[in-house]
Amino acid sequence: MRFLIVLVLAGLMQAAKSFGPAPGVGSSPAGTALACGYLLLSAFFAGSIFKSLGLPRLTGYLFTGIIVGPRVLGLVSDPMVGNLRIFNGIATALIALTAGVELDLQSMKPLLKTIGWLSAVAVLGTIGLLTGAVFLSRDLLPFMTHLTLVQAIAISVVLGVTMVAQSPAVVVALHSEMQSDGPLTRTILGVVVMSDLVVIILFAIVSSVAKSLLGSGTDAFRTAGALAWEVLGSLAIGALVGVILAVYLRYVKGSSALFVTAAAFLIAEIGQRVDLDPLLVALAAGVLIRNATRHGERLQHEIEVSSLPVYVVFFAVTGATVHINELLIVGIPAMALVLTRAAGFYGLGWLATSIAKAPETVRRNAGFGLMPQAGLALALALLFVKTFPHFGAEGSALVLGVVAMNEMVAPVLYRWALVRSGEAGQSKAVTEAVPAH
Amino acid sequence: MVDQPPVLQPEPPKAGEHPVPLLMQPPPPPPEELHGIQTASEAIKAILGLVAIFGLAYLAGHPRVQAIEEKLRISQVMTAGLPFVLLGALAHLRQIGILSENVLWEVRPLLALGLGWIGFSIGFRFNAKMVESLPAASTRISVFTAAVPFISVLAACSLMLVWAEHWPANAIFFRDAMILATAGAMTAYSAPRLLEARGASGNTVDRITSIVELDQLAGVFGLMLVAAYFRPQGALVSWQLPGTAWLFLTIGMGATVGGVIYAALSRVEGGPEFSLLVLGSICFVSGMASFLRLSPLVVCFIVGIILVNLPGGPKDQIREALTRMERPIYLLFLLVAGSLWDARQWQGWVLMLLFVGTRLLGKWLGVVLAERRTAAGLTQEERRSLIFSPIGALSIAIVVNAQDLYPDATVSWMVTAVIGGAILTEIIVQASSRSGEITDPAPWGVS
Repeated sequence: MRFLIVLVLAGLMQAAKSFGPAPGVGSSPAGTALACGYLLLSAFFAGSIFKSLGLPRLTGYLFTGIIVGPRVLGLVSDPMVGNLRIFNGIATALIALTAGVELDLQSMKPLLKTIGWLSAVAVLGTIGLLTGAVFLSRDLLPFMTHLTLVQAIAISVVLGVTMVAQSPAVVVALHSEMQSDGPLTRTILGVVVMSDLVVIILFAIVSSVAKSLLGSGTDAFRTAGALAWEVLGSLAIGALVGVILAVYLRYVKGSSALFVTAAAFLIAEIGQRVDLDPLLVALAAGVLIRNATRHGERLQHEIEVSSLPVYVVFFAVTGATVHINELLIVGIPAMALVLTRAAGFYGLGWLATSIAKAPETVRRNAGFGLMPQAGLALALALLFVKTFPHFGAEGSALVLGVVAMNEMVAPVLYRWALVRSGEAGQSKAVTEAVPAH
Repeated sequence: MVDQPPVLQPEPPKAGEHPVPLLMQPPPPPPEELHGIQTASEAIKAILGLVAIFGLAYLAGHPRVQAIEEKLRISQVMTAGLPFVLLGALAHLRQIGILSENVLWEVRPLLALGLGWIGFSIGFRFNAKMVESLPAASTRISVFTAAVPFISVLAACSLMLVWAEHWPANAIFFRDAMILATAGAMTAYSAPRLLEARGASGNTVDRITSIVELDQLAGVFGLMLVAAYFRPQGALVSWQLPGTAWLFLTIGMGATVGGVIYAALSRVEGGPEFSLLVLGSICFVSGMASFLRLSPLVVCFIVGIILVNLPGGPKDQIREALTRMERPIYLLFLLVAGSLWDARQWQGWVLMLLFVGTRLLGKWLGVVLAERRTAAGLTQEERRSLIFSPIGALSIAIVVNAQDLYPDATVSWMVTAVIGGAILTEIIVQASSRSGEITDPAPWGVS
């Protein structure tokens, strides 16, 4: 029945699109409303079908976006997808807020050692592996053939940092869907959040170095200043936002779902325009509320109430922007890099957790939690294009191919790992009246 | 000597130029004079301005502020959400610049959603049991109290518009007059609440409520006819069909999509997932209707009727989801509608006076005829309530919908006439009321 509903919706969407002959009609507000409603319904039911097949719902959302998006069926056009990107910012902020609220520093103290080792060994080690893989395959990558040895190493490092980026969005969404809790869940959350920070800083540093090696010239002080503002400024503003949210939650007793969503919108829109990182701002706000106030649980509940439509559209739009056509072009090198990345995370993850004497479930499954990839990697790929305009498009195509594969496969693997670890269904939320996802 | 056109004549469209409807406009070009940080400043100003507006909305719901509103006898005006229309208009002013053209274009999909939401909410009230339980007298009274003001507004405004518009015989004046007449025929839901506040009996309140609900039906039906028989032309539409075919298409689309949505909603238990599906459904239907240049309000109304009358189904959950999400969507809709309102054209204000006057006259005549023809036995309270009846959300939604369907110069006059008329009528209603305001006004919304 659900499949039939998805088919009927697709038919109706096609019928609607066939009506207006004028080019660019899809970019109109009517087209945006139509696309938003269509993605909400179709992605929701596709997610439900995927869940019945033992796969993550969010893979269903992504899959819907890929299939109905501009590169496959074209039911949702590029202009429509472009207009729906407003959901990306809100979703990122809500997800980061959720991640921050879940980071109870007190309960995570025993895990800090594992988180530290995983970040240092698995994440940094995998950067090294990816750098090596890109460097060794540079003869197969046309955009690197004209670079000198030093330049090739520099660009390889930049690509390695870009491709290692993980996805707090997917991790948080999977934890929420699986209602998981335990050492693995908390460790992975801590690692992806920390490595997000590390990757942003590293990218800024290595791309500046690479730019100067390529003769593009860069002002180191300016770069450092911009980076400091982006990171430290985001954390500071995030703390301020946390205070405002806490005050609101203290004095307003009714439902605050709309306020929280509006706050996420504000963080996303203003943050981008003043060169702050909305993810860090929301993360800092969430961490402050969880660890310095008594409103953590309430904020978590309010986010759950309001976030579902945002997440569904966000992941569907993410799927619609997957560059399937480029995947076909860079398929083999991208596949090799995906496997390198996966092997690095799994192997080095096992090593790191062994050094940290983490529980067996964490040792066996941590690597899978580091594999999901989405928004940050895509953002860095775009930044790569801007930073290296002469060959950025080709380089980012490789990254996009890697991300596309990881978007489709990694959530499935991590879901399997959560089930295998026994942490699925262990969340406190199971005991509350939360509707089945 | 060449005759000069009358002063009131609006600018006719230039040859080969077709004005583009609100919901079909492409994004405006970025302002040339803004770069980098200035663009960021514009966006931040817009966002903070919107935050301030919502802060005001929160304050307006605060018990202390509501107590002040009651003392000043403006609580009904606030409950109707009209201040949000004014806020939207102010926010769009160039000097204030919170809702600039760029920002407005980004939030314009909310217009389609808002129109669809209003239509769906109203349609969802019309279940077969409710209709069957209506007293026959109420139905007959409603016919008079809706039809007579409809005719009076139509006649008077037609006369003014045929003189003002002076375009070649394409019946545009008649279309515009019908829009106004449809908006004027209805009564707002605040009418029975006002009665209740005055201490009227339960029977009286119920009777007025049923008449108001039947009026809403007339309003939607009127909009359906206008949207079907006065179709937009030009490059934005590829199907050229007669009006009756569009009527059937509207009904068919609502019924078909309503059936699909019924099947979809029946698959989910409740909670956030159900709210997601309701939101997605209304968004989808209203977007589709706008895309096909139909009225999202009418199509979603039909969907609402389908959902409430099909057997079984999650009616309680739909009602709960509607109640939960109604307020923010409705307020956002009013904000966007207000920002699209061009109040500078004085023709609209002149039309407003005619509209309010002929509406009041029509309501009075309708009540008189209803009493004579139906032996309805209306009480004094009921008569007063039906004559001095406020203009509500649906009337505003109808003219806003018309503004999207027909982006001609004269439709903005209708918007001024109805929005201004709603405010003026509220003042008249307050002046005519004997006792105080409602002590516990319902939240802003369609109901």
